[in-house]
Amino acid sequence: MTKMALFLGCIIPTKVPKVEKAMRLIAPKLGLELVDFPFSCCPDPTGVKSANELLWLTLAARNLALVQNGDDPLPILALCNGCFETLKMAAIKLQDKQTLALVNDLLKPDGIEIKKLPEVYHVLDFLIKEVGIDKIKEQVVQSLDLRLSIHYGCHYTKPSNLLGTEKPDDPYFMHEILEVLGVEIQPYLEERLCCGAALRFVNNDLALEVLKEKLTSISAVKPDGVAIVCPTCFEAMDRGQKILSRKEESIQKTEFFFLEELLAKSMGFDL
Amino acid sequence: MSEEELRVGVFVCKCGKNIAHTIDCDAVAEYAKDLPDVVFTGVNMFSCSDPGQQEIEDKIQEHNLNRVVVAACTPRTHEPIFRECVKRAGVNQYLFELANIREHASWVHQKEPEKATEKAKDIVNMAVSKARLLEPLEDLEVNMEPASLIIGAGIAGIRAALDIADQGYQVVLVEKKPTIGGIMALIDKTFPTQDCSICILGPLMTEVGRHPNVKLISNAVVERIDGYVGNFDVSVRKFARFVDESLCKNCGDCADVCPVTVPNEFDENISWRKAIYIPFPQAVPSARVIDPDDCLGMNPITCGKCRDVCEPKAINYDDQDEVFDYKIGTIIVSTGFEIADPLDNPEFGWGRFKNVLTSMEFERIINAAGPTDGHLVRPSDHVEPQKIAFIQCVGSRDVNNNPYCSVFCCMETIKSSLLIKEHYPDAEITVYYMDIRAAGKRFEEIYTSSREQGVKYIRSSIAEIKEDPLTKNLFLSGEDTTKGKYINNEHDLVVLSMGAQKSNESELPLPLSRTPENFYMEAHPKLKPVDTPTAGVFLAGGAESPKSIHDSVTQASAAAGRAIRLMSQGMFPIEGITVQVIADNCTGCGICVERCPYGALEVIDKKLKVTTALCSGCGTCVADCPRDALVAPQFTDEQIKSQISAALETNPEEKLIAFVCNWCSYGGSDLAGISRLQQPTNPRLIRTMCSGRISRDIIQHAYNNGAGSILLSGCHPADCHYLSGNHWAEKRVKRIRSWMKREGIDDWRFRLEWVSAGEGKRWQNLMTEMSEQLIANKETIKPPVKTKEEAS
Amino acid sequence: MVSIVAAQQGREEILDRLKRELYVCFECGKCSGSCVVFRVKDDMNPRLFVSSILEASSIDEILEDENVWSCAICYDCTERCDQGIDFTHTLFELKNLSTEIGKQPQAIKEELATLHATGRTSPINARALKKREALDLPEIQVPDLEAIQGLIDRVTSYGTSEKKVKEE
Repeated sequence: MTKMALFLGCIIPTKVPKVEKAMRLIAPKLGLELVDFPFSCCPDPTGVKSANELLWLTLAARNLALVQNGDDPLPILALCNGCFETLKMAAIKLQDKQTLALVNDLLKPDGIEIKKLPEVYHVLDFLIKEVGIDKIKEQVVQSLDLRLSIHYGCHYTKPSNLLGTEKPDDPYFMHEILEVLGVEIQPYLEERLCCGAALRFVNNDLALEVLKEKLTSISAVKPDGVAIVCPTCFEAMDRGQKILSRKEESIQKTEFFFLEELLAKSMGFDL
Repeated sequence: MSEEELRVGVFVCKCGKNIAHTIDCDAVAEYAKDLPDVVFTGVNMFSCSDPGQQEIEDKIQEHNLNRVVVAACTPRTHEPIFRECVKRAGVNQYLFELANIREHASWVHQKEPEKATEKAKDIVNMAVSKARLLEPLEDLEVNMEPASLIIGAGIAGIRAALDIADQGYQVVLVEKKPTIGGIMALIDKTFPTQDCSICILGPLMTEVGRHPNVKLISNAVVERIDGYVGNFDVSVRKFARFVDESLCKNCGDCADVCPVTVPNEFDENISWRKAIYIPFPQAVPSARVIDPDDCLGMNPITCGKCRDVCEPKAINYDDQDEVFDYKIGTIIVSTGFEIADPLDNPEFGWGRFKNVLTSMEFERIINAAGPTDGHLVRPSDHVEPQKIAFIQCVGSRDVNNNPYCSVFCCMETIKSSLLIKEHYPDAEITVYYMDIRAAGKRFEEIYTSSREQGVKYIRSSIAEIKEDPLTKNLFLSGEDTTKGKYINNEHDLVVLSMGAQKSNESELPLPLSRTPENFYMEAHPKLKPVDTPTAGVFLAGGAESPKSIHDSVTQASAAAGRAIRLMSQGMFPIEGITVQVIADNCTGCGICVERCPYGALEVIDKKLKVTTALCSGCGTCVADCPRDALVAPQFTDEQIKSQISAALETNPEEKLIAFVCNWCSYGGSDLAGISRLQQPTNPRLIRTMCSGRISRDIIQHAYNNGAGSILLSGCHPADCHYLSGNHWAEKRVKRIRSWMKREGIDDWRFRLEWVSAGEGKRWQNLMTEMSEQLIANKETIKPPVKTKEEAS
Repeated sequence: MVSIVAAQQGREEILDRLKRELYVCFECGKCSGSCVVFRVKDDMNPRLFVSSILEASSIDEILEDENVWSCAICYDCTERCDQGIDFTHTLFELKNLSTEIGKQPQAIKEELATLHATGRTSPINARALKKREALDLPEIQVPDLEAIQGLIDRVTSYGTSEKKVKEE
């Protein structure tokens, strides 16, 4: 069993706890022991970082400090694109000694310190690169009779020079896993378009205009649903489609499936 | 050294008024009389004029002189003239030394005649000191084999081969692929005149294949290149073809029965071929080839169909590689470039979206001899496209992949647009571009013609291509930057105008340097554009940089001309300044081997072997030899140190010793002189061939003799005439500085600066700045710890 | 690290540095063509934004432009820039500076307030707890709120105190 710190983030445990449930169910099947920590918000790599990058970095560093585990920090498994991006980018920025010293200084009054930086993984990247597609295949007991479109979300791959997951313009790990689960993949025109979530800070109408383009192209190919890996994208798209489907004829509501959820189902769990 | 008595003659040149206006030449000559071993001094009006030279010759004979110093101008222009002069008088030409009192004194100290005269005396003293230690040297001549090796038989290699072979020299033309012709053989039409590519290339391919002076070896690589200019020993490995070229009638019966079908790489993998195949109908040699990776006949039990049907019995499954050895005089590298990789731009979806093509795929599809017989259809449904887009600069001008402009792609697209319009006048064509670069003869004309025919040009660097999964049409999004508007245009076929990158071929067995982008580096970007720094090796075509057919052919003929120029001499002269080894001192440590960019040194059984013909005489190896086992003739340690000692005889703390390389920094100081850029009189310049020649020991000698400050100056980092000499000079600085620290020598007293031959103004500033600093801090300079006697 | 730089550099120095980072722009428009915001809001043109920064005479002049905040943070401009410019990050710097002078959008103020009040951006409510119970999920581990608040206060005052020292 590989021991990992489970980083749930803010949205999953409160708004889509079924994703947390699914992850806790499939973890042992994949050889993972998940450990919980009193993490704070990751924090949000859009809002908080826009306001104050040092604050964003320091709060992220506090989370990284919690998994220190003596001299052997636990690797972090993030279930949300945003949490992954924040923690991974922070871990890279803190490789700079001066920055680390400054941040440790700010953490000092709380009696915590980063001695060694932990590894940070996105669940999707981890499933392919560390668990391996063959091990996933072994656990599948039920083929999913679904035709799904896919949305990866920006912060799973970008900025690619720091995150190091997949090529942002050509990600395929979710494709690879869904094929193993028996899902038929339905491409659509705006597959790589951003969900627009971060625009909510500026202008909700703008966010909806971006989303309209995306949802229209999904409706055009009429999938059974859309497979996703990010709860922020989910919130933006689910909330957005309720509004847009009322006023746009070209948009029909669709169902969103989290990867963890699909994996749990195919491994025989009933959620 | 010979036992004969030293008899030095010093000739001071007035250079009309150029020198005499500022410097008291008679006083200088008078001063020189008292220098050791000087038996004659004289003053000429113009030493380099015919009467001046005659006077020198006469005096040499009259006074039986065996060392000659002329105090005049720069050796960069006048050394060869005076060397010839002393040679005529029966003195070895290397027993001559020029003292530059014009560029380094009279021209740059015009307002200080007295100080200039004093400096001129120092310069003469330095030259006499060196002259007394000069040794006679002989120029070498090596044999020149009248044969060229040409590596790569695309249009550049073919053109060069024909030029050389037509002049009566032998050519060995080696091509990696089973046919010659390169990229040009695969494209349809050529810009700017829309000639059919294979129609103009085909006859040349045939001609080179049949030329009595050309040995064409296809399906082969150059495995070994030893030796040096005029005398390269070369091995070529010809891979087994499994078909006898001389027997094969190219009837094609074999391919008809071959059961194996694989993608045809000569059609950009958009069509199929058999395991036994001919790349394209006009291939040379005109013979089939078996791809052993695909052929089932490699195991005779499995298949033997083609052999069974081959009437001339040309097929031999047991064929073996062959290795041929050649003696070669000159080499032309024409290995070409590769088309950039479309997967480096995943935003364009090549490989995922069927209707996104590279320009090479487009060339094959529009080519009458290609897989669709020239019908333009889109791959997803074989329907004629109506709305075609070209995207420029794919794989070019991108710091993440290839940062340079690939030069030919704009014109290729313009040509293709005209070609489509010719066959499909109703097709809508849009070219998305950043800048259209139509810089060439007749280029603007066809750009205009393309617009006249309705081709739309939109200034937009396309950001992304998306595919409609239902229609397989493509949406191109970007900003129309002339309008500042977002565009999301639908097309049914997209052509990515691919740039070029250096081919990934394995390293040639030649020590050629490369640009940061991995193209081969020319010896000089303007004046030696097809030479390499290695004598006898030339570049042609896309191996040097991305270029059009026109430019490749031009360069190929130039390279052929350069090669013929060498071969026509029959012999190759090698300057006498090449490195010498004192075998008793050498331990075979091999440090020098690493310093040499030419492969002139190698250690065999702990013994150092010098290939004199490969040595360029930079002296970098000499400077780093820990055992003083190497000697740089004409620039020996003793000679350089004698110049230093002479320069520092009086008021050493006011002297700035500047070590300058012959090619860049000396040139910069000359330029300052020619431009009359006035400077303080403190500097004393010592010329070596390369900054890499100056060892820590030499620097120490200067400080130990009380030098005020020292400048070490060479070519800018990428410009070293000897590729890496300045790099090694720079590496020594750290140790020089730590030695200075131990000796209590302030850091400001040493500087390393790169000055090019074009930077006269910079030289003036540097001399002024360093001299002023020296004067201001003169009092802080402690006299050297060691006495002069100890130091020398 | 930009916020640290932002905290330690004067505004003129920041402007100079931003310009140095942006000089290489050859105005190809790949950023704007990639920008989801430009797609729906044609006055947010990253290409022209870069050129206006290059021409700006002060940071405050740049911060006048409300489009400093018009970024979806999708990073496509950064990813696709052929000249290697990280424009997403340029905007992060400008947004940080905009926040310093209180020009951040209301929603940003609200998110930071929620973060300060609860240590998270999506607070735990009764409905959520009920859902979790139904799924038989363990209790959510929450951090020491006072510690989080103390840390936020320390960091937000850090930048300003440093700058004061510098200005003095």
